[in-house]
Amino acid sequence: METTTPFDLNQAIQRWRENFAQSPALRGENLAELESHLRDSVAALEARGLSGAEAFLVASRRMGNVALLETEFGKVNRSTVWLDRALWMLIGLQVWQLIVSPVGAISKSVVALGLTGGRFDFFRHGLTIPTILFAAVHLLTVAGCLVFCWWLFVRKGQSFASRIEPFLHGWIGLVLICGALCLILLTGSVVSYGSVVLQAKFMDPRTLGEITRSQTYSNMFWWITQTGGFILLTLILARRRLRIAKA
Amino acid sequence: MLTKELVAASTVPLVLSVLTEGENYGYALIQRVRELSGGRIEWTEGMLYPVLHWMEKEELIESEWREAETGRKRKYYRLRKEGRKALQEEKQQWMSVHETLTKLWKQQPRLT
Repeated sequence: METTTPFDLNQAIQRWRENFAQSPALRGENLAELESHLRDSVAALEARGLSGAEAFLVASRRMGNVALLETEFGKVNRSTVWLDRALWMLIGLQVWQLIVSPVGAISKSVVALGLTGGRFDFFRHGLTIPTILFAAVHLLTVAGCLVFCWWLFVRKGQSFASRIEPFLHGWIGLVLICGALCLILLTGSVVSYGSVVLQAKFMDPRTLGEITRSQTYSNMFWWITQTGGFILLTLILARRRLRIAKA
Repeated sequence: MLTKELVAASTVPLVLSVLTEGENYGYALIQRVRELSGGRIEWTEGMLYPVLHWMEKEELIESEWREAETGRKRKYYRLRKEGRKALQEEKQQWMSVHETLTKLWKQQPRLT
């Protein structure tokens, strides 16, 4: 036997509103107006004999689909959309920096410690192996951080945003966020700079010199790869944009 | 049914013209246009609102939230001076298209 739960218009409208909740294209007032329209539309359809659920279905279909409405409202609320984009870019940049430099410093220190602990003879074996090791660890770090950021912003983007949002409304929340960021910043700095200081203090100066040299080679390789990669990406995007604009 | 392009082009003059009858809210505006066109002009209803907001930004119309007789709040739109002027221009343009087409179709009655 089929069990039917009675239709609740308020609940249905709440669910419908959630489609747009994270969208910067629609402001609160826009949603209020659309909701008012939806309720008028449902009432009119019910008066013509449709059930509550049917009326809601027809009314929301007539309203238009979510993507279409977002695009059209986005054209009118351009400033809000751009504010949202700039904000997310800034957040992304900061999360990236906060993660990448401490993680990179830790992994490099681990390699340096491993090499000296394993009694690697820099003077006999040369710098090729340490340089490759440093570069490989750097690659792993960047890849790992990329995966983490992708997971945070793309996979968990919605819940990440909705978890942060409540903090932004009050002053206490803002102070809490600032405090947490300062803590992360401080820990990151202590870890990344502290490890370098410790190496300088306790390592044999000649070994330290060789480690610094191989790290510098690896950094140079990375700088070239990274900058080259960005230039290539920019060119590809510029070409794509041109092709889409002309089509 | 009108094509997408014609719907887009005619929305502003239609809204301006309906508002000359007095202030109104979005849902009723759509109903009025549907009724007058005998159902031939069907809007994707949500799409009217971005147009209304654009018109408000251009100072063709103004709006106000008010409580309706049902007890719920509705946003009412009203024509402004700039809107009346814009409507006059729209009228001339649409009439010139209309007159030209009518003349052409009178010359070739077999076309229809």
